[in-house]
Amino acid sequence: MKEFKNFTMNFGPQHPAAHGVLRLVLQMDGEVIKDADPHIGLLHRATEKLAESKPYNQSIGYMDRLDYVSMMCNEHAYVLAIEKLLNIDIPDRAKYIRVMFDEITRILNHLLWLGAHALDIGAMSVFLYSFREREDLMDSYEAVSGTRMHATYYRPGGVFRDLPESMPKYEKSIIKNKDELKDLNYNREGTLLDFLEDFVSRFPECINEYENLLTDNRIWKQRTVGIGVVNPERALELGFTGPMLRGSGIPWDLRKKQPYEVYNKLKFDIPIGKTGDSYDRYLVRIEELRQSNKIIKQCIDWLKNNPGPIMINDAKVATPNRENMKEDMESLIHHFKIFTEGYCIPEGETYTAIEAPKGEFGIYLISDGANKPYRLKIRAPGFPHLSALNEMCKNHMLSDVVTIIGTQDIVFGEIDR
Amino acid sequence: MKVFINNKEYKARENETIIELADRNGIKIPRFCYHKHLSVVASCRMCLVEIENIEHAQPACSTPVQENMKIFTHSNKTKNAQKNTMEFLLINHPLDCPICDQGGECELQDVSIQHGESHSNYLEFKRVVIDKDVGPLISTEMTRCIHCSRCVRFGEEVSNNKELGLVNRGEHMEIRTFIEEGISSELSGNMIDLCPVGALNNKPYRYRARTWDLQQHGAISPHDCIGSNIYYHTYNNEIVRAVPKENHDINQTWLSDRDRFGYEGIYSEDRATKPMIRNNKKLVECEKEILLNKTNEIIKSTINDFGLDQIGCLISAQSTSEELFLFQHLFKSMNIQNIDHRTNECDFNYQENYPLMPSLGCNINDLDKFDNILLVGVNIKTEFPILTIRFNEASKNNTKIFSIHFDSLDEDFELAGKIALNNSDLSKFFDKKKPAINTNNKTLIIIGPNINYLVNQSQILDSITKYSKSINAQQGYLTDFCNSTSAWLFGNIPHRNFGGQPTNKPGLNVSDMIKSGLSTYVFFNLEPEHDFWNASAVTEALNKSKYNIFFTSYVTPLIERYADVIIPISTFAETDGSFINIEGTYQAYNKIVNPNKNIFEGWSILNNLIKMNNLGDYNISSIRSFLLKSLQNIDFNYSKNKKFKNINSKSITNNYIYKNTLRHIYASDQIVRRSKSLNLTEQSHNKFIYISSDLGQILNNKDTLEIRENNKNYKVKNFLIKKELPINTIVYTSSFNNTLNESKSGHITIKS
Amino acid sequence: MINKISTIFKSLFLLEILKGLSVTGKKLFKKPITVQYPDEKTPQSARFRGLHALRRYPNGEERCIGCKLCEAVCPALAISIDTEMRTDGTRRTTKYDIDLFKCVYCGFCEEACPVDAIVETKIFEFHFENRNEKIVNKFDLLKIGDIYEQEELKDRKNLG
Repeated sequence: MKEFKNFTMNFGPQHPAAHGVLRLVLQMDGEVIKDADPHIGLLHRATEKLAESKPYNQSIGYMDRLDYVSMMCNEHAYVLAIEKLLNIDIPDRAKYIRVMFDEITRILNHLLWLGAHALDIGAMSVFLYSFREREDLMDSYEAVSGTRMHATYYRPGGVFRDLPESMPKYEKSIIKNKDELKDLNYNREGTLLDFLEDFVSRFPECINEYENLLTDNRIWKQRTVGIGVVNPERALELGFTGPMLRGSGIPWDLRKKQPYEVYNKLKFDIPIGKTGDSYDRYLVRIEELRQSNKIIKQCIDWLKNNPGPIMINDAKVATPNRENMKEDMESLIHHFKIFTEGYCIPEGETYTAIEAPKGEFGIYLISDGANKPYRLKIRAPGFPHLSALNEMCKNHMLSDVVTIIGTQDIVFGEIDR
Repeated sequence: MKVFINNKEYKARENETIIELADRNGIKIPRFCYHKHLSVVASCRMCLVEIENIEHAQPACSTPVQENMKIFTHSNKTKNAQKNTMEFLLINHPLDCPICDQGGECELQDVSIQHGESHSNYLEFKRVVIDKDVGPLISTEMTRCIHCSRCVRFGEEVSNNKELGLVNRGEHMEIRTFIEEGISSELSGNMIDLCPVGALNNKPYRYRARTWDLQQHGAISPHDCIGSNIYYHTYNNEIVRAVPKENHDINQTWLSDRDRFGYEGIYSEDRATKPMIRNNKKLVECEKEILLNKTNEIIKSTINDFGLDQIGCLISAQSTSEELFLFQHLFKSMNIQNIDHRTNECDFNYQENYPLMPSLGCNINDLDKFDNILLVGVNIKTEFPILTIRFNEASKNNTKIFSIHFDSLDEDFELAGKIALNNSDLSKFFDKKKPAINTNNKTLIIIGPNINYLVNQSQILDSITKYSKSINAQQGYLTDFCNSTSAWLFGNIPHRNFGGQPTNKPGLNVSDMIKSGLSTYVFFNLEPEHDFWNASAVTEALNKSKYNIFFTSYVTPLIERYADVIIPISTFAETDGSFINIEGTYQAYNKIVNPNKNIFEGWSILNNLIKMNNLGDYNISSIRSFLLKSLQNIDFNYSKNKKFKNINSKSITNNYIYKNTLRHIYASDQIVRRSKSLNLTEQSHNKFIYISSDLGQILNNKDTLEIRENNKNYKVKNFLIKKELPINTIVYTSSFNNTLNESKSGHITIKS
Repeated sequence: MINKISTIFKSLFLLEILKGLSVTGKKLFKKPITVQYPDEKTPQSARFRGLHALRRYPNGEERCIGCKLCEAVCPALAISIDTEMRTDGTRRTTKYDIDLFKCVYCGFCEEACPVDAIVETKIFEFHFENRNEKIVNKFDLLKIGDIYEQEELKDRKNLG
């Protein structure tokens, strides 16, 4: 009989389960994977190099587009790095706003992950439910920044604008009558914080719904338990961070270990897994949804009681306010200069990382004293995760690749950058 | 002397001010009124620094250093002083940044960002100053002025042309022209650079682009033989302005208006934009290949049918060194000797005695080291405005400067003596009368381009040379075009080859080429209307000849009428090039803007022809390395070792009436002639015909002068009588005036 | 032992599946949350950053003074402006093009404008039929601004 060698199969880059543009070259022995070789670079946009040609502020928008499901977290790392080099401290209110939106972003990210992951494995309805909740959070993104995804909201020195005093409302249409509108707008009568407060109170029940659909479901368990097991030592060696590391049982979270902004003032717990398989990572992320919800609640309470500035009062870095700019020469000069040349950052280098939904998102920034970065290196959490794909897939079945890609929560914007 | 700045020790020179010491050591002190080439007034108070044991902060620009002085440029006291000064300076500054051209390169903005407060406490109304129109080159917005008085001091000290001044006091203080007139200095553009704010700005550049849009290209100015270093700023492949490039040896930090605004001529409407050949008496557009073939065919057939000496090759000395080299290489390799660049001259008897190349005889920096300088036939103010600054320095340094000319002209520096002599007296002056100078001192005699245009130039040059040898003086030249040096050196002359090598069979000079009516003419970068000594003779020659080939950047009426081939070539800005200035400094630059699709770079089109004839193949770097290598082997003492030939010039008698041309400052070359802004200046309106007072008496108050030259009669109107002119002289400005354009100088008779 | 029995019981009677089905089943009786676009629309923030517009002063004079700050700050180099001196001596644009494919809708242009001329409106439903229509010029932008001025004034009040 003729011997057959391994069969090579191309997975992606246009596969719906490949989360964007992942191309996998699989060496198959029957339906068992012997080797998985991820190919990257199809979404390369040279963000790091691009940043070297622009004044600091102009790259904020490009940070949104790295991990395009956790937009503000990416911005956060970038502006934190700049603030660290400038050695400035920002107003507390800005810190709370940032933390609140970081956690909103975390929920956004995990909801998308949950829906898509379940959809990949075969559960349809979770996707619909998680996107229902995402809609509310997207609305708060839009209310605060003006866009639903690519916010460009954080600025070195604070955030661009304070939280809005009112929420936009559904308007009369031929479909909805007055009463229906009233029902739709019930949580939009107050400020953004009221709107979010309502969301925070509803959300734990929504998480229960997801869990009812998945956690005990035998098909879900069959597809995830014991798939892609990474033991704690190996997870550390591979450079895992975030839920991937915590799923393996290592309590590592930058919000606790190296608290930035106001995380040390907030109460929340770090969930960890036991076995390091896909199911544990699922459980960790579900718990993180609850913890984030808790953090948002604390932030809302603080923000409601503490009005104040949201930007540092230093026109050398932050743009002067618009009314002043129109009647004050100094302000106009600073406005002009910041928008054309930007500001210069003293010579130095920094590595600043934050706990993004996917893990440790770091910015390594070198300044040579000019108004543009000398070098900007982005540490994307997805990259080490993806490089462990081969190890995690080995000797699994072909259908498990989809689970493992899903459990890694890969987004190509940040890997290819 | 030991001085401490910010607790670090520095060695200071005697009588140095703090700011000089700081600048030398790269320590930044903000300033507005201080400028290294201007006097110190300490009026802006921006450079205040803390000095130990002195209670108040002191201006760094006017405080001399002392032994063991301790200065702090970043202490709180200094910073506070700077912040307060800055706030006061901005009190009356209008909120103009968004519409101000200075925005982005404004010193006020920079200093405010670095040293100022970020908001103001001043809430009152701001003061407004009414604007004045000071001419076509500078736009003013005097409300923006912070009274640093740099522009005033520039006029007083550097250009020696006091036109701006500070009027009134306190809040009503303003800078304005003394009389309601424009600024007419030939160096006025420098005030734009000096102005730290947007009060004085570049008018042609107004609102065209932002500084951050511009690309900067270093280049050499092609409008005079000084070779000023210049930065051209381009926006969308178009030059929008020019600023000086600092070169301590040549133009320091200055630039003349001609260099600054001359580039506008590149964008003239009569640019040659397509290759054309004459077909059935009509000029038609054609492909590059056809153009080259036709050109080559004409040259070949002329040589075969009529002989080598029936082709005349003329090139402008404004061409780049590369073009000059390739031009003579192309034709001299074909054994054609009729090559010349001296199109404005008529008397060539001097040529065997002429040095290898014209040279100033000293470095520009050394001008003030001479005790006497004789300027013969040159008006620095209108011909080499940038040198005004150097002569001004020299005259302050006790150099005596004398002007000997056929007209009595003003200079912006102090002249020790001025004498106007007519042509015949000019030559006799050095032979017999001799200037009244102390001949034991170091003397420099500079011969200007106006001498070259005279009918008896050989005689004058001869007598000057003899005179300068007799008193052991240095003899120098100033030439009319930027690259005459290269033209002489690289053999664009009929009697010498490349590097001054003697030739067996000298060719014809320009004058003879035109007079003898050759069958083919090749013109490179020349306008028959303006660039020749005798325009009507050229027209006649063009008419008689069989073929006329024009390598040209502009299509003039005569070119359109007589050209058989028009090869559109780049101006200096659209090609890589190099010039050798009058000091002998070789300066190269790279292409500033890309030419239109159908405009060819001069050197490359010449190289195409060279390649077609199998005479070699060059590129810019190979030409440059060849030129630089051969320059090392050239014997620069050429003329000293040569035997001096006696000159038989036309005999000059007193009975003639002399008609002489003055080069107009803004008509000196074909690019400047087309500069829109320069043509709007006061100088450009100043076109004249002057006659001497003795001729005026003959006229008996008639308003028409009937003259006879070369057996032709002309009528001249609108002339003025100038008393200072020497007897029997008529002087007029060239290029603008066609009534007298029969020839640039000559002997005429007057019908009375 | 009891654990084992309960596990067998649970899996035999598909308890966890029924739990899940109850979640979806309840939704059968709830009001659908679907928004019937385009008949109705989701709420839009006053800060929304959509299609650009150039505004005018109430007297009809265009606001833009060609200062080029928006062009300078644009991270995507989507704006290109040419300026000149208009006959009345003011600084005005001769060209104001925005390439809508390059634009990343970051809002910096709006933020940089010292005279509130360039704004990003709430219009998000724009389309092109030809590729070259992606570049909107000054004329188009001013027209959008004219049509949208009242909305824009309303939004400006609700920014806070």
